[in-house]
Amino acid sequence: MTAVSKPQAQSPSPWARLRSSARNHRSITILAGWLIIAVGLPLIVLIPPLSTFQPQSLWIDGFSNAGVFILLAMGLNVVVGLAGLLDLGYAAFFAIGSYVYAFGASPFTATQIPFWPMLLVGALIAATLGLLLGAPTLRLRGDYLAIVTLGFGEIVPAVFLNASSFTKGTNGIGGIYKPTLFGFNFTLENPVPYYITMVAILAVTMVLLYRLQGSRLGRAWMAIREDELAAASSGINTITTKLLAFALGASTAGLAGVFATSKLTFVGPGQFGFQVSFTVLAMVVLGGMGNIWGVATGAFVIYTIQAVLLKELNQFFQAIHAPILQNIDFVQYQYLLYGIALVAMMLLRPEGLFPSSRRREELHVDSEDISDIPPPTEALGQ
Amino acid sequence: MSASTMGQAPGPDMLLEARKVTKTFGGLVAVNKVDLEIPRGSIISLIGPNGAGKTTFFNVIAGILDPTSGVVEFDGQQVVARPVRAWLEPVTWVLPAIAIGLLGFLVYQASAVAGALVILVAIISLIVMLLAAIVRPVWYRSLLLRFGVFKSARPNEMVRAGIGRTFQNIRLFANMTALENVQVGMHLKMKANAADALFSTPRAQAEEKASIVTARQFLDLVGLKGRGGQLAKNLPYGDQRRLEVARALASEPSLVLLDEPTAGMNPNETRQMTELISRLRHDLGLSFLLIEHDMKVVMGISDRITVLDHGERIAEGTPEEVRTNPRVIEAYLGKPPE
Amino acid sequence: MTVNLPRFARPLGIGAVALIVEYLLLGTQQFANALTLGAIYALIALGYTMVYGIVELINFAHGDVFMVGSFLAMWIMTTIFGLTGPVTNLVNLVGLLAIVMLATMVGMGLIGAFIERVAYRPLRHAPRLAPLITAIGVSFILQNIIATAFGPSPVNFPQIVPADKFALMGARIAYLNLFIVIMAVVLMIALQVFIGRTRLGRAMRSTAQDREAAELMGVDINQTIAITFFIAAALAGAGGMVQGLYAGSIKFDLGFFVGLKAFTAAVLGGIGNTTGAAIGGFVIAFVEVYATVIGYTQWSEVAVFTVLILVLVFRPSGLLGQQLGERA
Repeated sequence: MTAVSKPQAQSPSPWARLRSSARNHRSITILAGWLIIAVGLPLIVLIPPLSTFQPQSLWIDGFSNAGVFILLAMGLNVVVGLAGLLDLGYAAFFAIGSYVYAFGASPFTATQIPFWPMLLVGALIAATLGLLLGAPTLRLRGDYLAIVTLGFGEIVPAVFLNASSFTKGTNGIGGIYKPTLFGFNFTLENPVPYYITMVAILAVTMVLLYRLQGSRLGRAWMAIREDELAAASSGINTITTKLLAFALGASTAGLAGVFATSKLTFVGPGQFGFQVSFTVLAMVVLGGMGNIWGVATGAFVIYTIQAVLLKELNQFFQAIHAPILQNIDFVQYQYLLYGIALVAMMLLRPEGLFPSSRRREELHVDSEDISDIPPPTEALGQ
Repeated sequence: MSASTMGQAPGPDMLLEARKVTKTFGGLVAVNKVDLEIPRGSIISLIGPNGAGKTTFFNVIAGILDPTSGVVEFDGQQVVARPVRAWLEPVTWVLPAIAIGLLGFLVYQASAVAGALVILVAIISLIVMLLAAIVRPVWYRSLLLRFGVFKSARPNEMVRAGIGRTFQNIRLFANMTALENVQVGMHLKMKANAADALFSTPRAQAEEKASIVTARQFLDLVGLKGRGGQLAKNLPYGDQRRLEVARALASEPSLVLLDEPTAGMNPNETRQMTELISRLRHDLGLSFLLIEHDMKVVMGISDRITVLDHGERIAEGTPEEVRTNPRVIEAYLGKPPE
Repeated sequence: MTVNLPRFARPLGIGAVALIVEYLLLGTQQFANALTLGAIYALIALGYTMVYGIVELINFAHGDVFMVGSFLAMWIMTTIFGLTGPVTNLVNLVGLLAIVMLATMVGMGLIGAFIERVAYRPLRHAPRLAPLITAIGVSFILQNIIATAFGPSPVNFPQIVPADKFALMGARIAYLNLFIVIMAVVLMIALQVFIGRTRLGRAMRSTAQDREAAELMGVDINQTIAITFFIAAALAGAGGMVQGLYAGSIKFDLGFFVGLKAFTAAVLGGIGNTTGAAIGGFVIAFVEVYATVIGYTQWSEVAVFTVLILVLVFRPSGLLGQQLGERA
């Protein structure tokens, strides 16, 4: 399930105990997993092939940026993977979160609200807009939602572009204030504070998402994804449940927007094109819809490929003067590759590259070995 | 609010009463003034040739379709298309006119003639509404529905009221386990909300564990003991049908609607399903409404049978009465040759 | 109380009223622009509506098929015929237009059918989300192929129709506008005749009604769906060509917004309804041109999007009906 559960212990009995306790204390396991990742990643990049690409501080900076996409992918996963709603304008909520922070903490508006409450404010405003957009459209069939969100994803940046007296239009808002914590100032020179903040946000978000997924609400989302009419006939209010998934996804994107803007210290309408929504969707699909760790891994892998490996590949082929290959700009082809990957995944491997291990857990839960559940109540009313 | 304590609940003797239910699609009358009563603890069947309007009627009761006219009372309460927020009705008259008037004002900026024209249209729209209410009451009513003056039926509200259902072509949550399917059925019986889940409150944890136990009991009840961990799509056909029944029971309804529960089953599976239905009625005091094609099943377990043909109720009575009713024979076999 | 009018009376009536209102509001000059734009949108909207009617799939890639169509037409004109400027000889011009259009339509039709065969057919029985995601993928593939082949900046489209104008009711209207509108109307009538009168058209209609029943009656479903995609893409190709002639330059991401507008047109007319799609196209073009007339050009896309939301909220079945708004 997590990085901890990779077998390496010698004797089977403590290992089995570790596994079962990992299952029973999922939240702690996730936090521990993130702790290991947080410590491990900066160390891994010191190993030769990776260390030659770029210095450690750039890697750490890149990991924080990757974290933004992991957050986006985990949020979109709730909408697409769990509830089965195709949201093609996800970047719009990312944009809204970004601009909210820009309005709240920049010389342009002459306000300086601290970063930490703005995380919540950004998430809440994005969620509210998600509700406003979802309320009329979630009543209709899924395809309509897809096209409406597609339009919304284009319209929101267009509004930020055209309402130039409020947003400085195409120039964007710059000089946005960086976070501070108890008098400690985040700076661009030191990537570590951002990195730690991002990992903390990711760990907490993932704990909460796993809790939601395993709850009554998470089951309702999956039921709607599987068969909406049957879900309604089981007593689920499909509209409010879908709306909740939509708003939750939007709020995660808003959160990611606030963080990204505080790090970039600039926001402009050009950052939120359809490419962003599309990339996040590709991350979710490749990682395996509905599988939170899978989606996070997918996002990390795609972001790393996009930000580092494609460039390295170019330089590598140019360096060795490989015929044909040295003339191809791989960065230019990334969206073509994503497109092909999306189609191929849907045709060949719809469960994603990292399929969910949830089924196995479920089987396990059901094998009648739960000793700590209360004795049967008057469940059947008899 | 949820009047779904299984078995001996207080209330009228009639669990469900449908009066003069009519449903038209465009010009086609699918169901025409059909009455139906379901007494507490009884098994009622709905039969009729193909295209007789059974499924339409069934969907009206299940809250999927709104009847064009007629009333459905469940446990003494009207359940579909009931009037709410009556104060909205005048708004539906004025709103289109105001909207067009606003448009007219905008247009007026561009061209005075066109603006005047649009405002004329606004006045006409008021008159049209008046005419519509008189001449096309059905259209008028559907308009009111859209504005929320009538509360449309919704399947989840029927479940809340105490009506569970299965589907003719099995509609399980295919990629969820059997246990989860039943847990989804218990949705309304569970109380944990999003905040409970986020903070993993003791209340939510206890409820989640208890729900697994209860869900297993439901699986045992329909004969799926030990199958809870399998994905619904991997179950054999007969088990899928039974799982659907378990899911419907999980909402602890007082009335269960079964849409062709034995369709596609072999004689052995059919017998098991019939036994299950009678057992549930006996042990849990449930009432059932069946649509069924297998006459052996219908005649075997029904207390009363309602026969539809061409959207109208042509007969109602005990299995014996229906079997010998000449109109029923005619509907099924055609007019005997002169 | 209902009077039995002929089947086409209602759409014609709505269309006529829409056109008259448009004319009154815009005046001759802008009305001609709206009509031209509407003709292009209508051609694309037809593709959305036909495909939706038959496989219940919003073909997100359709806008990009339109874009590829304009590049294909451009390629045929410049590379095969070596055209760069106006063709003044009327016979030559008509002949060239006909040949280029025919070639574009056939080429795009084949591409459309190919996309269906490769990307959509294997997913016909998959969960709903799968073909939608595939469609998005196809859309991106098309855009990036074109961006790679022709570059990411706008490409000039040879203006082979001379920019001559004629006077009509106080306005000066280009012959190109006339050509586009006439061509679109001819194609739409041809489509209606094809759907209404031919064996394949009947197969299409029956498949849209009930696929299983049609199959039992001996309709070749795969062939019928392939033909639907062929026609949809061919119409989009024709639209792409005239878009190039009308706008003068084309770009790889041109299909995105045009596609969104055409989709709005299809929804407005009642998706699945071919006549409705045509009327919807003209209405959307009107909204866009009107936004320009009152001085809000940059907000025209927002306006069209607002129309889409409003239609979905208040009349999801569109102006001309076709029950689709599905509750629960």
